[in-house]
Amino acid sequence: MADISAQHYGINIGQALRDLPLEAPMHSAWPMLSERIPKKKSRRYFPAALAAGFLLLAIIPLGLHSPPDSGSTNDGDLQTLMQQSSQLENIIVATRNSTASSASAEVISLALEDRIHAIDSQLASGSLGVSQQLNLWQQRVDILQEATRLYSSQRYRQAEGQPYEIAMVESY
Amino acid sequence: MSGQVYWFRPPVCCDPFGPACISLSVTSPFAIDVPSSLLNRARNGEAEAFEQLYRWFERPVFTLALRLCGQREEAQDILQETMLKLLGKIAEFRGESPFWGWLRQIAVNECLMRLRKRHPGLETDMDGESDFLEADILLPPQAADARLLTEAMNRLPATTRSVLWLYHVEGYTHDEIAGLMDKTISFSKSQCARGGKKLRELLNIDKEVPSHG
Repeated sequence: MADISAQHYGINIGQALRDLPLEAPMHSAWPMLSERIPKKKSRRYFPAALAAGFLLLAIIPLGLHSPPDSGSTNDGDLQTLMQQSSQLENIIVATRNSTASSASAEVISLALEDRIHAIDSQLASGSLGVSQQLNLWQQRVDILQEATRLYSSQRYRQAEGQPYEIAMVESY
Repeated sequence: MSGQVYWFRPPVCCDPFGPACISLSVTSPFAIDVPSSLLNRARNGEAEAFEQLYRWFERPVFTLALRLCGQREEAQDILQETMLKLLGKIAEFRGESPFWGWLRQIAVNECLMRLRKRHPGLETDMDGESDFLEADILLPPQAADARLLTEAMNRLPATTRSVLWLYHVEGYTHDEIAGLMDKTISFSKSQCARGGKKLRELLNIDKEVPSHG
């Protein structure tokens, strides 16, 4: 009976407004913001940099070539992965159909979300080395690519008027 | 999750009722629980920590700005300004209230400042109607269509729309809205009731069929 009366009288204004989807900006403001952050080396990397410096000082007198500077490469890799991650999230926001989805698709989607959430929690801890961060960001990108494929095929199947469950059985 | 475009699920705030000077409703899209370790890293100027904060709050800030100001370009500017203020002021955040409430206040202030520039005094075309209708207005079923509801919202005066959004979605009280807008509590209540009634009329417009007796 409660449902019938709700149907008869309508939708609560607060609920209707809260149910509106979150909107995404036309373009990310992050590239501009990241340029405004003063370049600051994290303290926890300092001992490693110091050790590398001492190692170089020890190696150069022996006439050996100095090792390549992997730090800048890692930083570059990290930035690339972050950028990929951001781009994939934007694609997912544009691709995902939040109004029409099967229960099975939702289960897969939630499982992927949980994996992302677990990675984000680890990234937020702040006690990670660069290689661990690289590993986690790579995992994040992989999961987002998986999700992009999921939602793209869901959209394609819906556009073709085909049941999505079949595609999921084929893929998962 | 229903109705939200967020793909990933940021950790939703579990205890938003700390010692705060404003209402902190868990229904707000801002209600994301930010770990203190992440905030400490951001305070220390770590770009990765800021990037994480930006990603979590990009859409809540943009959505708030779009709902209050009604224009995507302006919402983009507000997003940028809010995040720049976050960069500049994060050292001032003492953690006495949830971070999301603090950031949301920066965004709301930025929106209202722009609305005041556009409409000095925050006038509405519904001023002068002081009688109070019921606040919890029921909308017709068309309100479940996000596109129709968004279009109807955009046809409301910016101030009325802002009051509706701050009250119903962000969970501000009429007292708080009155303080933010430098108006009276009666103004907030009146705008909320009148705005809801207008929204109902706008959504009903296609359903009204002339009677033939």
